[in-house]
Amino acid sequence: MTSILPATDTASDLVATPGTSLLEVDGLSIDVARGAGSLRLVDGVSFRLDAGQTLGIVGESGSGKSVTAMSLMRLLPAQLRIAAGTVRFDGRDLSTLSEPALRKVRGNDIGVVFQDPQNSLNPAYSIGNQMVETLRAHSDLSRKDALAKSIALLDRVGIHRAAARVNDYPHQLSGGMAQRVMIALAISLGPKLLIADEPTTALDVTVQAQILGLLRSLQAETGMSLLIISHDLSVIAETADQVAVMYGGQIVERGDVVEVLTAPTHPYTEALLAAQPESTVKGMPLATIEGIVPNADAMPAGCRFNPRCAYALDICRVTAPALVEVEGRPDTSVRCVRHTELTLRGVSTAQIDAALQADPAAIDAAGRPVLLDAEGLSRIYDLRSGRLGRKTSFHAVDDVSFVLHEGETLGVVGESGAGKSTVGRMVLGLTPTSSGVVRFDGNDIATQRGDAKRATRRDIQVVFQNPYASLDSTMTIGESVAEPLEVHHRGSKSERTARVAELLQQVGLDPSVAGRRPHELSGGQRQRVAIARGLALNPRLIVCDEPVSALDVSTQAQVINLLRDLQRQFGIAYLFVGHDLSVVYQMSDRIAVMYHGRIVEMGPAEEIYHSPKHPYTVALLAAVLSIDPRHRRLASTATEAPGEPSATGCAYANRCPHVMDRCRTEVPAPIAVDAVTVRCHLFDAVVDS
Amino acid sequence: MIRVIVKRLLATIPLMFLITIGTFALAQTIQGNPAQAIAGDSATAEQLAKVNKELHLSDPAPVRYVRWLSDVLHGNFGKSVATHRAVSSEIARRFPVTLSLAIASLILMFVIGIPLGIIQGMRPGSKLDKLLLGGVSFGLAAPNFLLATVFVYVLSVRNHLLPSMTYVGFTKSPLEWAKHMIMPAFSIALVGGAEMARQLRTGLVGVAQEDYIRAAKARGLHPARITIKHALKNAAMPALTIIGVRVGYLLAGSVIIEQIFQLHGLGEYVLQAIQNKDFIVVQTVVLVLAGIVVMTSLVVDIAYAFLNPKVRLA
Ligand code: SF4
Ligand code: SF4
Repeated sequence: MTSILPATDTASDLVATPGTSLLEVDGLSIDVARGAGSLRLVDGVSFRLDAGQTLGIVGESGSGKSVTAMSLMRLLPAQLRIAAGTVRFDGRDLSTLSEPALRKVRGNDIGVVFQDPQNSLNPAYSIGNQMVETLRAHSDLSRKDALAKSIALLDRVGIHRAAARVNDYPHQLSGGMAQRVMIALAISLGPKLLIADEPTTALDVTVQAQILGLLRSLQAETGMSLLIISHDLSVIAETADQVAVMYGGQIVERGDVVEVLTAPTHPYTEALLAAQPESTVKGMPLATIEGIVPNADAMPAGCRFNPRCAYALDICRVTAPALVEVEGRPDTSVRCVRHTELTLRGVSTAQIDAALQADPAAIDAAGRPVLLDAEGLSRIYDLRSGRLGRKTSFHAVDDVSFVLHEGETLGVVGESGAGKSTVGRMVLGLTPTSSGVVRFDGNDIATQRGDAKRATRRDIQVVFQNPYASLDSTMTIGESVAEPLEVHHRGSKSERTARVAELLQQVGLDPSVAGRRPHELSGGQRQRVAIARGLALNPRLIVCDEPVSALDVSTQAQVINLLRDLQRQFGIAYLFVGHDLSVVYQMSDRIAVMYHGRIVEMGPAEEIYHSPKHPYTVALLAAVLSIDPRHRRLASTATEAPGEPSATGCAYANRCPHVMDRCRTEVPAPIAVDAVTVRCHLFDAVVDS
Repeated sequence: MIRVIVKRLLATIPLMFLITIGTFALAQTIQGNPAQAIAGDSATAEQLAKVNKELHLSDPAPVRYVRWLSDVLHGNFGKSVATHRAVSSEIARRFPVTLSLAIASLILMFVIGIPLGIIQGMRPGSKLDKLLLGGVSFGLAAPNFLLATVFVYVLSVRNHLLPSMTYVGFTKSPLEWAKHMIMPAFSIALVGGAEMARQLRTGLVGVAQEDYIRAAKARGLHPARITIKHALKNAAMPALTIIGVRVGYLLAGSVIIEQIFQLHGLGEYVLQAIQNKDFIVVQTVVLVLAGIVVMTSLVVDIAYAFLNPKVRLA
């Protein structure tokens, strides 16, 4: 393969000397200005990254992982500064290098890919303009050659018709496309190191898999080193050779990725692994880490993890452990006073396999009465597009039908723009239907008036993704929870106060939080408050719209457990909208997979998860990452960016590996195959015969 | 892009139409008794009636409006009630003066506003920024007539550094033109320039937080390049919109400034006309000035579309 990637002399140097350290960070500390003084965000971080290797830094929010990554090339915001430590890259200390010298390193020797690709490209310039500019800033390519190279790079990162798309502006790109462009920009000068800060967090599951595959294939081709920062253990498990686990601004464990994840030596690493939905047999409570991540201004004394650690002893509250080499494992370092005496559990293949077995506690909902019956729901928006301003219509939701039984959970999965949240909003009556009927308890909710309407409003509640936005910041927690009671004139004032205390207890909060305000609580606690508020009127159905997407893994597990407990206790039905298949699988009895406004497959969760039928469901499942680094699921191959949804016939036709002629013209109708319903022409024959 | 321009152009037609109604209505309020004004105080009732008839002054207002509008559309602005001279020739004579003043003020506004804004925006919170912020606040607060008077006194009357009280056409001598224009133009431009500096500073400070600025830095681009190319274009958008607003103020300011510097421009013309209750002149000049404002905002809109691909490619 003739590479368009600069097989620069530096790159070949690297390939020639594998195993030499490229990046060595020693004692790095970062402070943030706070009033007259300062606060330590990152405390004495040390690691090294060898040529051609991948280091993953994993941690929850507030662990200091992104700040660490940004500080390497001194890209910190003005309030933050490197307080101590060295960053040796290729023999030079980047923390003290002069600005002009550092400028030569940036882009040239080290490339960066950011979390939010669409905002990382300047909206005012075409992507070609920004690529040419970057190339010409570090080389003496002519404008014409730089443009030709940009096109070749875009082609290399899988952008179809690169010569035309080079003139596109950032707002014309999808998130996945924009991230491909960012990667093309970052590798354009053949850097020795690529830093990827949460490179797939803002992207859909299938796109995430493609982007990670692309990064790995580029690494294999150029021999560059990769530093990947993620809150998601599976991203690290799929990509990294080495891992550093960060907690409270420090590295708590560091070493070979297989060793650390299969035989962790730090209790936090163990807890983090256990909290992954993949680690738990469906139906069993997820392992959680109690408490919340500490704030930089309130670091616990002694070991920073001690308030949440299951193995904490008195000594942990006084002695701050140092990061030390694990005996007999020279590659692994750990920060725990008890590490020699503890035997901790890592990912085990047997456990993951067990987790995928059918849920023994699965309820057979079919016998239960139908609570919600949605029939032929559509939501159509009129758009003006094209040069002549011709009217076109966009089907956000297209002919969606499903039933939900009492006490059952129906999960709705799909990528952004699939219409899953719109379905939830239609059930809530927040988005009007263009056609179709939603029946609750047999009554069409659109025609209900007066008391009947109020009763339905009481019976259907909602929990949104962002609890901060859905709680009024001027009200106390108690007032927020009591509000639905007041609106529906439930009880006297003292009865309401008692009910609020009871509700807070039910969601695992101390009743004393009633007097506090939303900003004083953590994200997980706010989500609990939102759930308490949803419970206040004893609803029969709660629409959960991505309720755990904004939370850290440890908190996410707590909220999932809570929702399931409440269901068992009160027999509430859930319409659970999510994008993370593992989470939706854990929560749901049945799953509906949506693509571009339509339900393409629906059936029992086990059936969908274990024997997916629709090509899109298959792709979605194939994109689920593994948390076991020994059994990686991603190929390190670059794939072309997927096609846009097709406007005629099957919307998936432009992406489908099985596409046939009729798929382009005929919209597939829902067909019952075994226990599921599929919308795909592949199954026409099965039924016909 | 062409589609955007055509769309904006078409949108100005109903706007101009509304403006003609506005100016006509406005002129009605200052009419007093125009026939009396025209015929003179000693006119007999017969003479007054004759004037009334000639100018159709007793027709109902809508009829007179339609007649005036059709005249205007045919390029016939009528004759001054007071001087009996054709309004169009008077405007032709005075227009270059006002236009000169407007253009010179705009240029000065940019010359003051852009560098100050950039200097402040690049290092917000620095000593220089704080110093300039003081200057900007002064510029925003200083009334232009006061400024003009001080200039004339200090620079012309006391020190004879700059000429005043005359106008030299640009085509005659660009240098002399500039010398004569700088004081009046500066008096008008200071407020606009200060406002522009402030907008640009705010814009740059905001843009500096954007992810794409950090990304540009991560690619090793030179800081000056990041500011001039990446930050400025995005920060210029809000600053640009104030130009549209400013031109209106600028023309209003020129009425007073033309008086102080005794420039025989449209401002002076309209002021005289108001004193003479010369409604024909008033409505015509106001219409011309409003037309200038509309055209400027059109240019601003198009420039905005040029800067913003989301608008351009819409
Ligand atoms: S030092 Fe103690 S509290 Fe900290 S991780 Fe180890 S056992 Fe837990
Ligand atoms: S209908 Fe055709 S294009 Fe659509 S998923 Fe099935 S095989 Fe693929």
